[in-house]
Amino acid sequence: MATHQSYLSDGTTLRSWLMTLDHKRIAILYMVSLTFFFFVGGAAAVLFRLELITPQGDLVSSDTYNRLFSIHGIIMVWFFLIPAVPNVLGNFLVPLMIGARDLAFPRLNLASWYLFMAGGLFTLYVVIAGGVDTGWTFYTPYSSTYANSHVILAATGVFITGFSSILTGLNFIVTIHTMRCPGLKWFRLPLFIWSMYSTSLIMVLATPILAVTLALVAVERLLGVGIFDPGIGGDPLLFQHLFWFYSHPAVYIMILPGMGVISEIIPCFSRKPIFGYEFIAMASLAIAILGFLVWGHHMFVSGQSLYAGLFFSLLSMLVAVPSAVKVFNWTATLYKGSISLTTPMLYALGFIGLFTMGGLTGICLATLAFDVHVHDTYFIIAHFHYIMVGGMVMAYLGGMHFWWPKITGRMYSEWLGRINALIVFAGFNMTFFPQFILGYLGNPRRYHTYPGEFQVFHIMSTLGASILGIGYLLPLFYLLWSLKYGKRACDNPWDATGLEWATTSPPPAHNFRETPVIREPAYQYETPHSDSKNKPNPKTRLT
Amino acid sequence: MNRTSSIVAMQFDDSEQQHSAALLGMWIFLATEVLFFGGLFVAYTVYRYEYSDAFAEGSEHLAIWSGAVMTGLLLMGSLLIALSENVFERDHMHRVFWNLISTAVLGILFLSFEFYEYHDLIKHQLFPGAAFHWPEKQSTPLSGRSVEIYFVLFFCMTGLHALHMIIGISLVSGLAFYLRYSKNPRRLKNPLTVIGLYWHFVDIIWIFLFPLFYLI
Ligand code: HEM
Ligand SMILES: [Cu+2]
Repeated sequence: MATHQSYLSDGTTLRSWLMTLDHKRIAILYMVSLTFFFFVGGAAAVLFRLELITPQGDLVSSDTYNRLFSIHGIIMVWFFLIPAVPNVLGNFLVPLMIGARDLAFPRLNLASWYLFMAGGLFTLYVVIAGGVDTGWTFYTPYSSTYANSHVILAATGVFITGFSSILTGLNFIVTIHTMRCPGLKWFRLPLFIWSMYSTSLIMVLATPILAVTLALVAVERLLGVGIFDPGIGGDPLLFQHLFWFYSHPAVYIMILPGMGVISEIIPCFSRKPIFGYEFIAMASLAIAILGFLVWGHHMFVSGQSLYAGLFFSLLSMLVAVPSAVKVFNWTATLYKGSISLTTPMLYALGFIGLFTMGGLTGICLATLAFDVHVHDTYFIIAHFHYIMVGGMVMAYLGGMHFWWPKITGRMYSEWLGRINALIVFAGFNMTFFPQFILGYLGNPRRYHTYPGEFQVFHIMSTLGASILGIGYLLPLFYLLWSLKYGKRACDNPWDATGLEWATTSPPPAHNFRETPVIREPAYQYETPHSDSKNKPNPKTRLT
Repeated sequence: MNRTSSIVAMQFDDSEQQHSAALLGMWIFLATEVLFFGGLFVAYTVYRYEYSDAFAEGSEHLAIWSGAVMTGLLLMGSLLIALSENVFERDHMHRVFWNLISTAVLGILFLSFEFYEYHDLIKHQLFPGAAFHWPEKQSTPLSGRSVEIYFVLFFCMTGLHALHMIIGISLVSGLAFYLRYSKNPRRLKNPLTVIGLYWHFVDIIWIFLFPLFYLI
């Protein structure tokens, strides 16, 4: 141990971090910056949740309120959720899991972090300069004819960050195609890799559409011409089509990576091979492909034809099939497993429940008649927060706890970790469950005042949000604390089978002392009923 | 360290792996580009359908002969790049250099024609925005606004294409000089293939733009 150099001790100057080409260090750069953005976005949420305690607008004006939820959405979507698992955990794990020394294009990888930061600086400038009030969707005419805030700057920030995600996706696809170690056939890959691969496809194919769309909005505003403005010849629906053609696939960028994390955690803490490996792998691809065909479900009431609506309704329900396949497979993996309720496992179990809620309400929304009733109400907010926060943020936290020993070489306090997972789960449900009811009863989203009879639900929601806030702050402290005072982690603290556990914790700069060779499928966990003497050991997968 | 290993980057096992990674990377990048232009092509389709008369009217103001010459220039450039890969294999580095330089020159000529076209349109107040002026004719009930959309799309799409051309020209000429002064030009095989692909792609985009804007 003593003689071995980990990637963390390989240079300690600021320069050695900012100019690093090591995928593991770039992952850490992302981790730090994303955490920062997460709390900026969270601060906006604190403010508008406070405003919503009372039915009148007493804390902020309606204009400020618009700016708060817009910046919240923009930061959380593009500066936290989309990059969270791919750029932090993916960057760290993709080469490790496939037995490679780095990603295919390390310079591009670093460049994509700089692009991300450049986009982030624009966005932070927007926050300081007074905000943007279009909502995260930049809908025209809010963003064109009636824009009175920093739309172009905010759009530029998102535009630049988009390229960062394109480059990351490109890097992952090439790496997974060309750099798997000997014996690592496609169907021996960890499911996390499959989900990264599918996510990358979406990043590469959907994000450019967002980029042109935002560029067109900028052109419209700079030249004063009518691309999307019907008053001067434009077509406002075109904006929505283009935006959702990107953004619906993008919502899958915000869940597929989380599914990958869960597929790693569940078999490890059930001590069983994952159930239906091929089905989960193919479901990821199916989601990525079908996700491109359903954008119209955001436009049921925007004036698209009824037939288009029917078609999109049907296709949207189809997307739920591969998602459900995954849920059933995870549950089947749990069945008769020897389950240990560690911190990552608690998050994973929470994910399964909350994601299912989000997915099922998605199917409700895909039903035309029901959607007409709840469109643009709190029901929508609850639907996507169940998936994006209940699902993805839980998965991110679960993954962070799962791989923290590998990333840092330290153990956190398991006891605090478990309590925190419960806090997050409770706080989350208390925040967002009432919003289903609010939406169903007809409370529209995006207003800072509301009829008095809704107050009790809003108070519950704000209370829940405070609990959730604690649940997000606490890990910040105990994880940082563990860096100095945590127990040293051994190479494989969870007895997991992935290749990343076969190297040291933290790994050396080039990941493996010698190139691994794979001889068997992933997830070869022994069930306790079978020969229990044999502890799973990732090294048995190697020669 | 032997010579072969020094041209392979640390993360790759051998130069073959590196080559396939570079190639795949470029193809994926081009897929991104297709989608990037794709958004604009969708916008074109929508407005062409809505304002087909205005589009026909607007295209009257472009010089078809110049567009045709430009197409020819690009196609020649592509041919030269394709040939240069061939001579590269046979180690005629000198000819590779001149092929690349000629390609870049053809590209610059292309841009000159294009900018002349822009200049002409701006002079006739056909650049969209405040200065746009469309004489409303009694005979055709066209609104100037719809013709303006044609020109918005024209400038956006050809402008974006021109931006790609500028990048392409810099890459091609940069590669040419790099190759000329490199001690070991054979290691530039990957850049040559990859930049070649990029150039062909930019060409193909123009092959679509030309009929869509000039020939309607
Ligand atoms: C299981 C399949 C899913 C179906 C059938 C579905 C269906 C829908 C529908 C029909 C809407 C539009 C409702 C309206 O505006 O009236 C919607 C909104 C939304 N969904 Fe889903 N959804 C699914 C999964 C997801 C996932 C996985 C995510 C994110 C990770 C997500 C995120 C969103 C977001 C962000 C919105 C609202 C966008 C906005 O207007 O601001 N959905 N969903
Ligand atoms: Cu959607």
